[in-house]
Amino acid sequence: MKKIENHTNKDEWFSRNDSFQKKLDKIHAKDLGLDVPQDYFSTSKNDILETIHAEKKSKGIPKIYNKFIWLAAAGIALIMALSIFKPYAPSGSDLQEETEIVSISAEQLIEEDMLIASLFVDESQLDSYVDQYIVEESIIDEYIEVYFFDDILNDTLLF
Amino acid sequence: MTSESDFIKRLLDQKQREKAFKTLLDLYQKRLYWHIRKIVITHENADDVLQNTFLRIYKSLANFKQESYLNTWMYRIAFHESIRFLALNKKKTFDSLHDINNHYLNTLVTDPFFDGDEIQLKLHNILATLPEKDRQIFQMKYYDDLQFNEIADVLNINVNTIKTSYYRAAKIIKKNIQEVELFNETGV
Repeated sequence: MKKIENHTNKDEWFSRNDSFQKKLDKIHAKDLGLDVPQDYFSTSKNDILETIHAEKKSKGIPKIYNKFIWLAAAGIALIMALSIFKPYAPSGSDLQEETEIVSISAEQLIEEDMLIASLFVDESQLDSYVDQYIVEESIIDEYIEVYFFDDILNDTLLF
Repeated sequence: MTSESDFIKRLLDQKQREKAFKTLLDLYQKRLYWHIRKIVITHENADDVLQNTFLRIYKSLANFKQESYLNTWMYRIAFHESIRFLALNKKKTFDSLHDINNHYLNTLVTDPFFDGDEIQLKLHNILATLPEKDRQIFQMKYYDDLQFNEIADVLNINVNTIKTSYYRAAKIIKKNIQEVELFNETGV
């Protein structure tokens, strides 16, 4: 098994990253018997770039979504304004129904594609966003509790 | 030589992002692949998760405020994507939570890109017996070359807990490897 050296400076780490990368295949093959198909990394790089390119092509969608969200928000504001000034004095049930329709469509637009919504997530909130996304797909709560966080309080400090 | 901070500036600049992202792939693709591979085990799964990871990284770049280091930020995304994959896979495949560890070796040996000999299989056996958290931390430190504070940042766990887990895992692995070596030498 290999001896790993420590690094302290992030720029230093950045510059030596490339040489470390070259050793990775050997380390994993030698210690763990893990291989990759020939030319995998060049093929995978192209696949990733193509996927991103395809995503960018359809990038119009978030803008449209964004526009819809703004329109929905404007609609809600308009309805609220109308409810205050009541120029046409609609019945209470009509107004409630209309508000619900506008609100639901805005929520649906956000929830329909979580990945698109992730574009609007700030980096500092990325963790909680991803966690929330995972939680919605269940299981993970239990997984994290059992495997990662269950004995934090019980751990003793070595150093 | 480009520093990380200069590189991040290029990544955040809309005009330079495309080219910088290709460099990012060159620099981190293998590291993240091997990080993911050790969590999801098979090459096929790692390939899927790697794609999702870089897609998420690309989409999230605009929100990267350099509050954490670039590498730990990306490892965190890769880790989350891997766990999400396992969670979804578990949902489809397993009935109980304990099946994940039992499944580790079975999944490994069915992977066409596992070519381990008896000793390597024994090391996997030892790793499979570790608590999941200890195993992940050991692998991130030993094989992914992350520092304790970086692992703490990725997993959002106290750095002393990380150290405790790492040394506990290292001790178990060392002891078991010595037993395997002794067995090979003496046959008992």
